[in-house]
Amino acid sequence: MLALCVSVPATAELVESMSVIPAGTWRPLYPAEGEEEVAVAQFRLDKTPVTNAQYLAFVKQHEQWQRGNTPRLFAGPEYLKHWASPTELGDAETAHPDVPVTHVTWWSARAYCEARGARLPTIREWELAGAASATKADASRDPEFVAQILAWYSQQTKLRPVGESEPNLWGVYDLHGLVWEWVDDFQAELIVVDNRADGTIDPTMFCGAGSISASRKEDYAAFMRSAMRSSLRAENATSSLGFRCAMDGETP
Amino acid sequence: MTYRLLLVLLLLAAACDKSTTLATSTEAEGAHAEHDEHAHHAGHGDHAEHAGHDEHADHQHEILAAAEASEGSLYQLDITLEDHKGNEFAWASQAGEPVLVAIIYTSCTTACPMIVSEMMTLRKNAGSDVKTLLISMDAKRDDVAALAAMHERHQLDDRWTVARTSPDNLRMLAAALGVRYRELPSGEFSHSQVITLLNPDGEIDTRMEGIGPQRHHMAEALKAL
Repeated sequence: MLALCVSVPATAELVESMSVIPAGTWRPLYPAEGEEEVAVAQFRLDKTPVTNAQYLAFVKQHEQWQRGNTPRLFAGPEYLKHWASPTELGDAETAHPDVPVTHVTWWSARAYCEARGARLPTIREWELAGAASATKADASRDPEFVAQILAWYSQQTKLRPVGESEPNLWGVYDLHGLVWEWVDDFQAELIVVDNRADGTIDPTMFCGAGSISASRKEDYAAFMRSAMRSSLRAENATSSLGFRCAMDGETP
Repeated sequence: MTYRLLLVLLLLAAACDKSTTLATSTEAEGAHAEHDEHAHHAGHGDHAEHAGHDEHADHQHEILAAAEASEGSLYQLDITLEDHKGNEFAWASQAGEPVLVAIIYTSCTTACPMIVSEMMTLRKNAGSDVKTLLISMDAKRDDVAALAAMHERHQLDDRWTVARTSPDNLRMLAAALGVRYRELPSGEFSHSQVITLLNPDGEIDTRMEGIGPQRHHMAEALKAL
């Protein structure tokens, strides 16, 4: 990875800021053969998305990630463009200290997590955590839960401070309803958006997959997350895309 | 249902205000002269990193100096690979000449042989002997022997290298090259077909996704070398 001055992991900080997500099974929306049920090991996940304030502290400590200092390969003109300056948040609503940081690239999100001794969650980890409602570990097939998430995706969302929503069963906030979130293996999402009615992947574009089609067509929310991840390039940074960090196992 | 999905996707695409995609032309980087020292540090951290490079350190520093001037250079990734002969080499050590690169895996029976044969055809038609690199996405199974077998199987010459690297390094290379890949339970990989031409600075000169329609641009790019 980019050689950063890696901070000594703040163990207490990580324990406090992360929830333990117990091992479980994730059922991908677009499973390849043998992927219908994916085992996910226990891991830790940030309770909230990374905020502007937290990200500001990071770039103050790691100058190379300040807007203007970061090479174009890792961060383009969209990077942190909502901040008043490279080291000041400013007064824009989107730059409020407690709202999720946006306009960050995959590279910069990874660097932030690594500086804490953590990493980005994988797709399967994020989806396992995201399947939990306030009361149920796997609500991914509950029509009400799915509809609730889809309602958010259908409207323009205003950024608001993290942690104000109801937490899910694992004490994790804002997985749905705030920002899209980077995952470490977003490149593993292989949906090709074309004009076919059934959402299957064009087999001439990819090899090894055979025919992949949606396992549950009614879960539009999962489909949109997959589509979002499929559309991303590592250097992209948008106004609706933030991130949170994760760690292996239980003990940091 | 079709229209609704389409509309939703269109809205989604519109809502995602993406930053600019990777350059597909060799724009002269006027910013070279004014390049900030900080940007150098972003890719290399403290200079102790250079201690890990191989014995061609002096030559490499020259090459790196040229590459470092470019903010779009993929050689800002401080990554080491192992080739089909078992030799380690720095990703950035390729700077100084164009490189044609693709990510494949040796046990792939469908699209990967197509990628290799496409690269051969492109080179042949352009009369180009460009340095060519195939990197395996299968860190687990593609050991040096597998790489060597692939090199042999396709009867590749010394201008072709088949290489492997760590899963995390591969993730970064794929991110920089815009390659999508996913390991399946069977051990096969689902992946996109991308062939990239890097310029001597390690920036993307031309990128070809899918085999067929974009062949023309890559062919022209190789002819121009």
